[in-house]
Amino acid sequence: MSRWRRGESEEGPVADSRDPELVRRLAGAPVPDHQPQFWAELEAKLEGSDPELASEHDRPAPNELAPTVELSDRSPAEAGSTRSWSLSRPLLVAAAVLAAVGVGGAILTSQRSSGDQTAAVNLPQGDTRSAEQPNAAEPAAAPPEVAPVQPTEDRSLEPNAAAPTSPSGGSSGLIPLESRTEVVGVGTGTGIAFSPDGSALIVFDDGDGQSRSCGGVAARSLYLQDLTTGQRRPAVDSGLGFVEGRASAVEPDRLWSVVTSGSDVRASTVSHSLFWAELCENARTETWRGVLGDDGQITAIEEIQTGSGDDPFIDGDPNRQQAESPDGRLVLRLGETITVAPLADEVDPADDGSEALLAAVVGELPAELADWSFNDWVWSPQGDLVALVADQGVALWDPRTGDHLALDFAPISRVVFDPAGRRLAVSTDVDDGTISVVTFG
Amino acid sequence: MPGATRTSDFFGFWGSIGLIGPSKNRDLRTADERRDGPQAMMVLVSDASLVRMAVDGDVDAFTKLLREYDPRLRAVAFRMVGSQEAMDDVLQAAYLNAHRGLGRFRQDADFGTWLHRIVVNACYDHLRRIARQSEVSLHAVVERASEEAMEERLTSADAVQRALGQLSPEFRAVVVLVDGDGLTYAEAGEALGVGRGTVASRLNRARATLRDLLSRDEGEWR
Repeated sequence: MSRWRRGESEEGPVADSRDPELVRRLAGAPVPDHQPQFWAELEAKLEGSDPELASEHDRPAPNELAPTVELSDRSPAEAGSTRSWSLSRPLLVAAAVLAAVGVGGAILTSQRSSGDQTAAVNLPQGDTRSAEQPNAAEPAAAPPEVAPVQPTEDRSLEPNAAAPTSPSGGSSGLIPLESRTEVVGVGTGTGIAFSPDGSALIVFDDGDGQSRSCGGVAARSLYLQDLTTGQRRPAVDSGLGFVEGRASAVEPDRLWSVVTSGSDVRASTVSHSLFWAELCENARTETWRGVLGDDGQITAIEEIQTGSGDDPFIDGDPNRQQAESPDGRLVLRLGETITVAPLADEVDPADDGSEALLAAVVGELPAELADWSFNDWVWSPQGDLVALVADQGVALWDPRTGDHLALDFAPISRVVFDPAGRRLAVSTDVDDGTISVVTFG
Repeated sequence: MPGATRTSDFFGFWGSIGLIGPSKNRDLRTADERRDGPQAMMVLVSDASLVRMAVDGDVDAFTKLLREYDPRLRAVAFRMVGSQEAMDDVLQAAYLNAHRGLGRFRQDADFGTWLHRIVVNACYDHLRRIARQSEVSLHAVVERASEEAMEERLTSADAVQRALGQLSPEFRAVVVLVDGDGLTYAEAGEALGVGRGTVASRLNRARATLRDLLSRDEGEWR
């Protein structure tokens, strides 16, 4: 069957349609040519490029004819990913046969008849991470290690050398992190925040990727995900066409929820009394703080900031190159690499690489993560861990020991620690979006 | 495409699952182009050879492929990121990534869709990176870029680019791919890594928002 017959749908009777007016307008919109040096530069780079290297952009491409199999028994570390893999039917048959004869946890390997493509499915119990697919990107991160939980100690000023590390940089059996990942919600462009007691997540869900702005998240609905019972409790469903807002637990003892629409502010809260709201319109940001009474009604509202576009929920300088730990004892700096040093030994960031800085560093980015492209970082509330957000995923990093845990989530829209600093909520833009909670302690 | 159906029927089940029969071409032509018939098919055959050569390490063949797809990918990238400079940055990164990933490209897959997907992902990454760096909205980023690139004078073309810039990247992408580039929903879904239903849903909302933005924009500027 041809997949490409126009107007024919494999998923339903809805025919493709094009908006004639938009087609006309887009066709008439000029597209510039490349800058003069474009091709020369590209060809020079291509000559020096290694075709064998992996690329994070080379994500699995669908197989046009083979059925798509959603490997639902994904490992905890990948449960947040909605990645699906395609296997040709003979592979599925082979997998079924082998499974039927009790080859649990076996490695299933089958050769495609095309001869040069191998699809290997490695299915240890509860773990499907190692399946390799044609056109699939290499795993963006090493699989999480599982190790006993270590008690949290005040090690904030211990040097890196004081902690045992493995030859590979501290990721073999010494990681005081164990992880278990649970998908707790779905939705594109979600914003997330833990409740002050860590028992629930508040989730902004725009449902269909409507918009993300003000450095925040568009919200079409707001719900509470009870992490104890697994129940979702709708808090606000605005029912409006275009609403934006965001929430953040920057005041963990008070903040709860908000959803905004135009100049209207609707709030929902469970038991806490203060909320923040951002109203975004054409990049203009209005930030409001509202106080809710015990009955959940707004008792006071005040405008905090208007018009700057700055994000009051992001701590520090928006263009920050460094971030202090919550206890103010350490500072993470972005230089040629990422380092963590005692704040008391403040060193000019321009001296990155100098002896003074190197002497002060208590933690330096593990070599295994050197190739990652980091976009953001978040300190745990206790200041003992950092979640490094990258194009390739999230890395939980203990800068004092070098221990790290690479989690394969991408692309990531938001990462937040729970108040206890032992869980990480991650929202991604994969497919229709997922919200996962990684428990690592 | 009746021909494709007959081919599949001829090879029966094994043909239908792609194990025997002619290799599938990368058919990323618009619906209009598909109707062109033989001439377009000759291009496909030639491109299939180029793909094989590129996968075998022939940089010249890969560059020829890029130049063939570049006009459409350039339009996609420009409409996504809103400026010539950003467009070039995105495409340089995407093309290099494609080259690095050639070893994993399955040759019976659709090369054009594969390239589209890499370019769209590079656009997403670019927009996210800019948003993170500046901590201003994506709206502002793209709008500003559009304004810089298109100067101050508002034309119909400016208006549509400006309106596109106010859509989320995900919504912008479906409009750019379907209404701008002529892909079917299925093709756009493959390029975006989402299902056809998601494409349809996003398109409906994106178009409604675009129409609203365009009518407001043009009203203000008249």
